[in-house]
Amino acid sequence: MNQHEELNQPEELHLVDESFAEVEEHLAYALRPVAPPNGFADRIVARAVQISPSTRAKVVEMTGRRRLWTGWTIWTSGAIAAALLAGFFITGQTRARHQRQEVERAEHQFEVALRITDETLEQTRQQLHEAGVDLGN
Amino acid sequence: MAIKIDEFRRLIEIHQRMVFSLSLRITGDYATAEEVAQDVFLELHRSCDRLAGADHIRFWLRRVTVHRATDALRSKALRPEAAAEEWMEEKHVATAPGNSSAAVQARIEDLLRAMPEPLRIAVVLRYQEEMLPGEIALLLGHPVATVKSHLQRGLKLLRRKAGVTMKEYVRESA
Repeated sequence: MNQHEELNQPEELHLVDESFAEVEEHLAYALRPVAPPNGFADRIVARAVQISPSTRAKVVEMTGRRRLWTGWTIWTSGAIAAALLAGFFITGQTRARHQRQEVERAEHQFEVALRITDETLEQTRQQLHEAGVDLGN
Repeated sequence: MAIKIDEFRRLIEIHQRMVFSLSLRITGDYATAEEVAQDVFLELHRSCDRLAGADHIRFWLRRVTVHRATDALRSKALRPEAAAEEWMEEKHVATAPGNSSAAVQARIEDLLRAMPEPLRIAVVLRYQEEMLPGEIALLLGHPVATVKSHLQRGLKLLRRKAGVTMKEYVRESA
């Protein structure tokens, strides 16, 4: 027996004994459906129209605009971040090049100084040799 | 996709008395009942494409109304049964002496509002919607025996109280 057949069993109609008949009668009378307030359907329809497809389309349009705005914001943020990174990279490269140039310059100065010292020493040795002083080598 | 507005209005006109009355008798509050009933129909507007046929729509409306009204009852702390002390009283004043059927109807509605929620829902579905216990069980997702028990307890409470009340009406009307 399926549920539908079970529901239609006659004994289901007799919930309680006959002494309840009067109460059931009063209940059936008292619980007749009542009409809703005036304008009930109109108010619901008005609310339904507020969320109708045209309204949804506007919401979709707004959402699309927001997506565009969000996309633009993401691209802009990305571009700014990339520019900053590029700036940091270029600054770093420039600073490294300057440091390298300073090192080269210092090395060059050191070599010049060394050469001058060698030449001076050589001249001194020569003068001492001419003066008859033998330094040994 | 939601249904067309004309079709939606037709569904409202067919079912509005049922939905509003169920909501009113469960919540016991006129404004809340209208609010719940409106929300139920708006939910129908969104869900209509999933419902097949008039019987399915009626079943869906009854079930959703009972659930939403019960939710409203709890969330708004509307507790009609808070007046349950009335069940212990032995005398009530008739609201409309001389108009006994209207007075009895009003009194029964008062008594119903004071009834515990599960009993009230079962009684309203049985006597307003003329549903069988098996149909109520299917709608509420309860065993049939539970629904029958709620109905019997509800009727016993009503008979006990209404018996006293009716005598008072008769006495005052005489």
